[in-house]
Amino acid sequence: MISIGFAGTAKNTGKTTAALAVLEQAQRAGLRLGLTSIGYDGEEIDHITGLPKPRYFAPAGTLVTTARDVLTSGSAVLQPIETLDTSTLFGPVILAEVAQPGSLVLVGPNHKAGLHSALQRLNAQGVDLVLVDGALNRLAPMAICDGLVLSTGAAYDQRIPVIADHAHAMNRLFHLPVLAPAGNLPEDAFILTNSNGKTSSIRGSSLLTEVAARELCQQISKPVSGLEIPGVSAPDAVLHLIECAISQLAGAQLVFGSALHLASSKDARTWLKVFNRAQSLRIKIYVRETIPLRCITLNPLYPEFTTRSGQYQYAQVDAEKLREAVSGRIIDIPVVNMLDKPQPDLLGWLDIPVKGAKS
Amino acid sequence: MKTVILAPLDPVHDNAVKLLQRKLTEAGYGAIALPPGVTAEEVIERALTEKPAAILVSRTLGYKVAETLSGLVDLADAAGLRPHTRLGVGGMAVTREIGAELGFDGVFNGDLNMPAVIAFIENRPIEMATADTAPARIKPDLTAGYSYRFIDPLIEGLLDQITSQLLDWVKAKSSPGTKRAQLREAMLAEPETSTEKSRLQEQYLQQCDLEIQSFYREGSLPDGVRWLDQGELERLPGLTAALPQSLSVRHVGERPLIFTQYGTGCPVMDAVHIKVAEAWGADGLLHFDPSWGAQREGLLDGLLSHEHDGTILTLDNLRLIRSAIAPHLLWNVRGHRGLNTPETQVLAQAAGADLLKINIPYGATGGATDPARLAVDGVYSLQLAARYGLPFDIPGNDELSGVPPYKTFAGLLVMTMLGLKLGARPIPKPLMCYSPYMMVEGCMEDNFIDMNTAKLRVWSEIIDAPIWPGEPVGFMTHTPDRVQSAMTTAAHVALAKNLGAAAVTMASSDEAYSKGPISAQARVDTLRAARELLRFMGSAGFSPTPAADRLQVQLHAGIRQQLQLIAKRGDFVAAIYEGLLGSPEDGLHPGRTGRGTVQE
Amino acid sequence: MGSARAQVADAIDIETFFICRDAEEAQRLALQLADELNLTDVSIVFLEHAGIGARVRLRSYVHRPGEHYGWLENATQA
Repeated sequence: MISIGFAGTAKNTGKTTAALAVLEQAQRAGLRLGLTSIGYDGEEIDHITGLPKPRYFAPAGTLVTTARDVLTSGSAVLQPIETLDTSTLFGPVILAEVAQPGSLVLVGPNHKAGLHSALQRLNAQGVDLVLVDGALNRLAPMAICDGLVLSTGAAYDQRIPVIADHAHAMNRLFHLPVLAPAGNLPEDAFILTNSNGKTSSIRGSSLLTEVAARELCQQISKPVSGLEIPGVSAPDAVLHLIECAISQLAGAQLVFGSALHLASSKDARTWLKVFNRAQSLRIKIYVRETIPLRCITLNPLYPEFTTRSGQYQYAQVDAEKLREAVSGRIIDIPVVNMLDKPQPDLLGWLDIPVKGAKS
Repeated sequence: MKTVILAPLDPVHDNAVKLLQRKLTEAGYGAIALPPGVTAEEVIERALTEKPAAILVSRTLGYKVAETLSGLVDLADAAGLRPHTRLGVGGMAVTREIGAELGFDGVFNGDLNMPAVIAFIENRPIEMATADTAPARIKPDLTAGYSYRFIDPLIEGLLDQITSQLLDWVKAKSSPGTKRAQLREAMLAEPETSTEKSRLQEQYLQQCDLEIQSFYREGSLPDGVRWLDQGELERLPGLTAALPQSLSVRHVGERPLIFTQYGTGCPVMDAVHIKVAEAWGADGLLHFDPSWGAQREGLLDGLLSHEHDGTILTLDNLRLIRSAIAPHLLWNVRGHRGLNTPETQVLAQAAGADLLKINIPYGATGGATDPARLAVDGVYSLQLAARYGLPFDIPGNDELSGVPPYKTFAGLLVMTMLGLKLGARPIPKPLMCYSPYMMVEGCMEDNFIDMNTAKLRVWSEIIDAPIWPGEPVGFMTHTPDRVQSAMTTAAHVALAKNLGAAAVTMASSDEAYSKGPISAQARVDTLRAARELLRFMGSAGFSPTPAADRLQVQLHAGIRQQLQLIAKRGDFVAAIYEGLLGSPEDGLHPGRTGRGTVQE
Repeated sequence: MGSARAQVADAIDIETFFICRDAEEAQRLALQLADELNLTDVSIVFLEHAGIGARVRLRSYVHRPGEHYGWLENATQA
């Protein structure tokens, strides 16, 4: 089974549109499908803007993990199979099969552990491909997916250069080199490696604030060949640490637990400042694990609030200029506007095998 | 001790957080309140140290604020907190759907609900009260705790004299009204299709006006009356199902009970208005029937809608309305005047009413019913009330014609003693109003507090009985302006509470609007206004001026004097005819409806 | 006769009560009512749901501060 997460840089960037495009191609390829969401998807009207949203229409045989209270919110008839040990605001998550095709509302497990459990249950049911729809700019649960599609666009920012810079920064995060650990390292401590290869640990695992950076800096008394930060990090805290411990860290390896640990904090563009400063000090940055970012989708539309009407309506930036700007900054993965025709081979981009698909 | 982190992501306001911190600390949690404008990174860093059971975030939702909240959720997940730390969000416009999209485990909006917050922290299901699971609310007894002991022996003696004469006078007298009540009771005891019931009904019709007979024999409906159709009846229960809980008007204490009146003319619309009143905190309801119904001998039957004020008194209408009234609400059916007073009590009891309404002097003057007729019917009705075990209230709305309060109160006291002698439980209803008498005499030029205080306090000098100002309070102080109307009602309710009233009847903000029926929003407005003012007052009170004491002394003296006059007359019915309980000078005339119908 | 709307100082408020399931439905109904009444620039000033329905005040701005005011254009010069 392959799971693909559909994450966004903001609300209304086109995550569900991208997921629906993959769903259509996967359905034509005869794949057994699973659907879930880490947020709330498939509703007719956006709960904040009041604008229409793309809806899920699932074929018969699709498996879904969605909350009990929304099982009958769409026109699809869902046959419950089992209740999972994960709860949401709409009741427990239910693994169900689409008995009669129709529209669906997806409210699935909202965190990593819950999603992990749901994917295991879907795998046990023989699903070939699970689409995990995201929510706003949330990424962390997708750490357990096999691949990621990132959606961005004017809903993130209406300035095309900003969209492009940010997309480039996100792409950098997901393409940081991966350094496999030499042995079993504790995940609840900072690990220092000295020039002789000897390791020592310092209490703490996340670096989120300048105060924490100063405290860690004080603990690094001598030059090190490596510093491991297994938990989550904020870029300004890391920058502060580097500036505070320049002589100790110069030339060292700075290893983070996961690319997603970096992406979950602050604006990805701030990480570029960290990478540039690190590069100037010959500090090499690695992650222990990442998730393959397979492609970036673009959405030129954004909800615009007008005071006069007191309502939102869709507006858009120049779609061609947007595509050119982002494609110009990202060359190692495909960049596409999902509404452009013809649609690309998304299954190929996502590395989803179609031969030998289970019937 | 479990720890909870409170994070106001709002850059300025953290009052909700401070309040929650205090409440959680009192409940035994280690509540850590972070400063306003704290970043998601700061919250998570603190959480990694404190390992809290929950992080509660407050923020007013706006379009781009959503990303800030979801960023916190994401960081918490990436930091590995989520298996052990629940994430809750509270603030304006945060719905369950938005909470799910943001990734939160709990959403809180509206007023602070500590049981829900604690259930969330403890990862217990927040039990949404349903009509089946909510604790059963007990219907209060308005008369409980009152001894009905007379404190003024002079007044007690006079009332004893007056009522003894009246009871003697009505002995062996009957009227078409008392006969119909007896027949109605007998009919109710018979199966629907029995020949005995048909026979009794024929006897019943012999006691009815031609218009009523024509309804039963030919099916002709009075003007403006129609049958309810089956479709309406089938769809109504879905709307009027029991509510799990409702707002409370009171802030401190269990009294006064809040009553509102209904009588749109249509029992379906009444049911909706009743549910509105119930949801916004009413404790009881009063049924108002159309005045034309009281002027005919005999009552109609079936489910009837009426396009003018007042909902027709039929057993089926009353039962339909009763089905919409929550079991814990008190229900009063008005029958204090007209030709159908005794039968109204029979129907009210059969339909499940909790309170009856009977006042001979008021019904025989302002209610336009012949005094002799209403004396016979009224005493019979009191006997029914006693037999049914239902309290009855005694409205004092004759003041609205210009009757001075000491005369009205004399009448209320006569009815009180009468009820007690017959074994019933009376609830006098002094009217808090700006009556013509008050205007002419200048009793309320400075304020509305002193006179109303005197009117309510005087009762505690006379008898230990529940006092229920109505109907409604603030009568003649209302204007069609919604805000003014709601305010004056709220002020009168607050004053009634301060003066120890057992219950109070309040109007909608449409009280002074006469060109159409009362609207649902008007009902909500006054209930909300009353709630707000009772919250404002809390356990604090009003300070009457020394005039209140003077007015109270005058009132007490006036009541004694009037009762002495009535006792001296030696004939209560004649006293009504002759204006001792309200004269033409006061603006009242003895009623004529039913004159000459008393039978020996 | 000129338009009555032009003489509205700033806003039209609609006070009403919706029979509805919850606050969200009430919100939707309020905005739909505004559409049906051809009201623009609307916002919900107040909404409280309890039991059978919701008490709502819906507002439609006719003249916001800074706009050209119809009633000023209709006013005669002193």
